[in-house]
Amino acid sequence: MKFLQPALAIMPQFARIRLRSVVGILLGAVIVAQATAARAASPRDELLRLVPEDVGFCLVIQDLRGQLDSFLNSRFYERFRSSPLYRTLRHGPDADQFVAAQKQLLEALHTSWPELRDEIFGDAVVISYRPALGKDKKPEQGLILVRARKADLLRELVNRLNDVQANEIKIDKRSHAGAEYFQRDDARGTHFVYVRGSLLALSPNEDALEQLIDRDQAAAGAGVPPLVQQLEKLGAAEALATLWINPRIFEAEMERHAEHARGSDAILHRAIMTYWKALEGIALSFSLEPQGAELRLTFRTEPKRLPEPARQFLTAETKPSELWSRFPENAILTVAGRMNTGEWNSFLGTFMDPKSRGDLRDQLNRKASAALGDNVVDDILPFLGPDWGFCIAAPPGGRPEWFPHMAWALRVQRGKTNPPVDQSLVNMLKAFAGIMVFAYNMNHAGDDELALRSLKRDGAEINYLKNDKQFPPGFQPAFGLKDGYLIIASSPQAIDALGRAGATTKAMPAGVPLLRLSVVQLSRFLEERKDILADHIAEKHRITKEEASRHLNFVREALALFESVEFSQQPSVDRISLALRVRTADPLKR
Amino acid sequence: MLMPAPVPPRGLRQQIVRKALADRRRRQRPRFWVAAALAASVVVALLIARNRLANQRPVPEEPAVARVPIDQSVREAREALASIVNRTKDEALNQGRVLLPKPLPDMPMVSAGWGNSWTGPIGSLRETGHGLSTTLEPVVSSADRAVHLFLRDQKQ
Repeated sequence: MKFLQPALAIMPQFARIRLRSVVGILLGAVIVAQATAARAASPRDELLRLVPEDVGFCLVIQDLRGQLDSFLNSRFYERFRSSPLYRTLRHGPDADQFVAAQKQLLEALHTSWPELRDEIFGDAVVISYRPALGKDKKPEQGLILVRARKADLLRELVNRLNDVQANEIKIDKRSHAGAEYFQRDDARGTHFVYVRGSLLALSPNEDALEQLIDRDQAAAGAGVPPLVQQLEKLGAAEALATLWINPRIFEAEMERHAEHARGSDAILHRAIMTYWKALEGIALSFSLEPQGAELRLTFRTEPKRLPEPARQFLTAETKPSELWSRFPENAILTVAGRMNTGEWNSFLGTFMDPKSRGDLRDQLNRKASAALGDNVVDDILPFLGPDWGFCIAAPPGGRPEWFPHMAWALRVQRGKTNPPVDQSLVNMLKAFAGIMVFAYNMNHAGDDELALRSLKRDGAEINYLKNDKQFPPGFQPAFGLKDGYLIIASSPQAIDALGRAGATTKAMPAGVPLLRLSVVQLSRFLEERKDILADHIAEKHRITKEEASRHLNFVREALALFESVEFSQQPSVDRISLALRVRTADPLKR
Repeated sequence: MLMPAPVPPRGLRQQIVRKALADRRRRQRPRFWVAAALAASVVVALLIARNRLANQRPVPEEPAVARVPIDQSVREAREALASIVNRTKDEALNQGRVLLPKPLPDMPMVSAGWGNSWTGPIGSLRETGHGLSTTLEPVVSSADRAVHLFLRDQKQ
């Protein structure tokens, strides 16, 4: 038996491993089962299962109950109720009319808004539309689907509505495949209504409703609805509201439009169609998050179907511009990105035929040759970028200059020409400024004359325009080179404010940031300079200073609700997402 | 030597029986109150349910439901909402517009229409937006149709 001893020795260990595996498998099975059950139970999925695949648009609203409850009990909403925006919303004859009409409607139906919101519309609402397009010209179809939480209440409300409108409408009971529905006729048209348990379906088309009944009867036990899969691929499955656009449905009609185009128009249409055909889906979604609200536009593409230049341009590695770390910490508005001029050139070239591309090149060279040399396209353009950006920041406090610092920056390399590319661009700007000063001073004299001045900063020359009579305090348009950037700014001080790479460590928007408006900094700017600004506004609009201060206070109080507005790109292999995010000062959710 | 057999005191049996009965009564008292409370709850619940049922029962004779033109209420609510949104937007914009800086004096180079001199292929680039909107026209017009269809404001 000795030969069995090693085996016996490892038996407990083996048994433990087996046991762990079995427990793991069981747990996995339970999780999968629960996930499947959760998916099967999702009201949104129940409705999307009933939406035909050939719709052009589909609007999905889900979990209105939970999201609104969380929003209405948030600190943001509490603060919003005491803001001037809320007062403006609530006071006025139209607000009274709205409240009266809403009350009349709800009383007639013996219900309340919270009951409607939570019990009828709280789970999921889907609105879909199929346009009458394409060769077969199927008639247009619209569907409104509601998945109520309380089936009894839904049935009761529908009956009450019919009862209340008994004198205005005509109701005919109808049936299809053993299911009953009814037709409602009124002065403005006909629509068909089907109620089954918690499901309410409305359509102006009888065909659409009968097809829905067929799908409803066949839907039990089916897999994940295709539309849910589409939303998941677009990253929009969890949003509060999503508008899904189906590119395939419009393709034939767009082709027909493109066929009528001639010459360069035809090339343009063909190029657009190439991109359209590469689109798998488009989603515009809206989400409420604890830190704010987000509006996101997502395009899902099939990269293989894109032309090579476009594939390179759209799927290129995207990263935040270095300027995000150079613009000042207290920036009110920052816009910055990266643009590879070579890739842009190739991408734009896909919209033109070879002759037009050649003509464009010649024209660019001809127009800019006086200032930048004979071959702008080859000698200058490849050395511009990729970083570019724009920034507005508050000027330092305690000075009479209130005009915000503004700066536009473009990365410029020296190139291979003589003079170098960066210097050629400065020379061009200098020439323009000189002509501008000359032309302006032809008609203005004395203290209204424009002057072109220059000063040295770290060995570099900064040129600026000066006119104390016409320009507001702190505004002296300036340009020059700094750390490899060509900068055009509102004043030489605004150029000074541009730091070295990595100088700024402020929180960056998620993804690849393109724009950031700091509402906090804007409010601070208005607060710190409220007296100077009130004087300026009063003078400009010919109003009293008190009135100007009231305007300012309204704006400041409204701005106090928010922290920032951000616009960013969320790159991925097959998706291009653009997100607009409004961050609130207080949490937007409970 | 064996001990003498113990003799129970007189009346022990009656005493045990009496105490057992007293103990039983003591233990039964809470049960009684629990049962009484439960019974009372059931009675109260039945009374409430009866009242509710009576209230919920449809009373056809009572003209409780006002015959309101629902469509009109919906239309009024919709118009009022649109007006509120527009008014709030205008108010907020007007308040914010005063903050915009005074327009700069006319600069000869800026107002010379320099950009308008770009024609030919650059002009066609400018027209790309127009071309895009023409190609996307079916999408835009379908969206327009959809909105009108659901608002029951048929557009022929």
